[in-house]
Amino acid sequence: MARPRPRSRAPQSVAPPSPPPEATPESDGEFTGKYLVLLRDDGVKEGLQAIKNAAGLSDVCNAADYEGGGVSMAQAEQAEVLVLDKLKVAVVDADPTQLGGLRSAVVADGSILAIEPERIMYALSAPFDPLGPQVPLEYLRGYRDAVNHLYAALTGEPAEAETEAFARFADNARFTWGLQATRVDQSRFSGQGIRVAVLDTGFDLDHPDFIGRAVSSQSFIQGQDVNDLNGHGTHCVGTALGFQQTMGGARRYGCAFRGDIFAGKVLSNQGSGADGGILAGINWALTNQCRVISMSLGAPVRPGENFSTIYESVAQRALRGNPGALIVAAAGNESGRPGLIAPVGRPANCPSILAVAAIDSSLGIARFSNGGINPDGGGVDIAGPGVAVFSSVPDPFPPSVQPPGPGRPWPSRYYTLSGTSMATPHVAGIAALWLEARGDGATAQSLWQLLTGNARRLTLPSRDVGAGLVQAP
Amino acid sequence: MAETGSINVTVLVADTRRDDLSGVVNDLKDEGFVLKESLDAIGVITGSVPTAAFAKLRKVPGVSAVERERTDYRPQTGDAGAAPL
Repeated sequence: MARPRPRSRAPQSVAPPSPPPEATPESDGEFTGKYLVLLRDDGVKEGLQAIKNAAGLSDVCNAADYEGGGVSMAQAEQAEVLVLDKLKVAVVDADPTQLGGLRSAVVADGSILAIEPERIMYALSAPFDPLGPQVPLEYLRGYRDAVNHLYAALTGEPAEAETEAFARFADNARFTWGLQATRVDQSRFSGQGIRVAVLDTGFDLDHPDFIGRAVSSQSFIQGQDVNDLNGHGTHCVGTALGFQQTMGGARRYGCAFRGDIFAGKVLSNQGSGADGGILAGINWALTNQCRVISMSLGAPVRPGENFSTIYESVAQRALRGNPGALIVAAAGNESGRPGLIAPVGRPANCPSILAVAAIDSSLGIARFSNGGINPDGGGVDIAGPGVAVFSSVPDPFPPSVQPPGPGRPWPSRYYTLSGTSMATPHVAGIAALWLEARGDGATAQSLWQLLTGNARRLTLPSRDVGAGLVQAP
Repeated sequence: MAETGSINVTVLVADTRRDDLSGVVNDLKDEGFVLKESLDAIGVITGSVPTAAFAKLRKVPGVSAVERERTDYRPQTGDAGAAPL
């Protein structure tokens, strides 16, 4: 870190009053030892005179004297004062005594507005980046954050989060971190009277936390009933619509706790779905006046691939209905940030479907969360809590687990999962809260605006989080 | 599941003919279409058609779009977390 070099030079004016203590440059950065002096717009001449008087400097190089303002840097370097007349800035080579004189002049003379030390800037040379030269800063930032989080995970020390420095949530005895971050925990709304469809792997109709709830259900999978033998659907229903009180006093994990549950099985117990079942599920939800349709499902698309005309038209028809329905879908999990950002999958990539990204409890983007990198639709519209999300799973957990694999079977009754699948039902449940808050006048189209307009802005690109983190009324 | 030589398709019916879905179905059947479901609330018809006839469906009056059925949708769960409590 460079410090200003003291210069031995006899002051040429009357000795100024004892100079104020020399201000040291901030510790982050390198400095040239010179000072930038900001002059008043209409007082450049007077300001320059004040500089000369206060600091006893007379050797002036003025950009105005050069053709096209093209200052000779060799001459500028040698001068005591370089005047950049168009910018109303002077670069002054001042020793500590002269600096003191200048600082006094700031107070005494209105033509000098401010002084600050001249910094050294470095060009950011991009490392090789296959995504292209417009990305490297993001890449480095993401890489830095990934290393910070890895360090934190290994050492248990908190990660330095440059963005959202003081935002860090955690599950507590009463609420999941996601309900806190979205302010559901402070909302007085319950989704009373609002029908919400969750199209997924079905639902555990006998889950102890849902006794007494209004549940309508329908399977669109040939040969399978709606009973959830996978677990994913029950988890999503829980996030969207789980009750305030839970059996055995587990923390609350549901958003619209008095909403009417419409559980449609459009993904098999094995976790597989097709257009026929999904569209039939959407049709069923609309026929039953559901106002929100939550779809924690998707398929990857290739960069540049267009969205489905059919899903887009269906979503538009739903939005335009009276009162209409908002379709919310997961943006997808194919990314491996920071190096790889995969495009938003289908059907979330439809412009008229609200695409939901996943953030973690530090309000950082989940490493798997897809981004809006395809033009023509394919944008992320909003973000929701999607990492380490606690919610309901089948109870008892089916012994013949489908699909089998690492980590399965899950524990009974509750489990913690990550994915844009988890972020999506947060948005769906909160949408129901907004509908209740706004009453009969709220159309599906206005609901979209309510959600995005009231989202918490994050210091993350809209490519990754859309309007920001969904917030409850 | 479509028979061998057939593919599952999704047909979007235009606004102009949404009130006549059964009429559209009949016209599709003339091209060899086999109906699975008529989804009134969204104006979509699903079913299957011999592969060779796929291109003809788009020309049926009142049909806005025809897409092959995609079957690769999955739950969007990333890493599974640790057990709770």
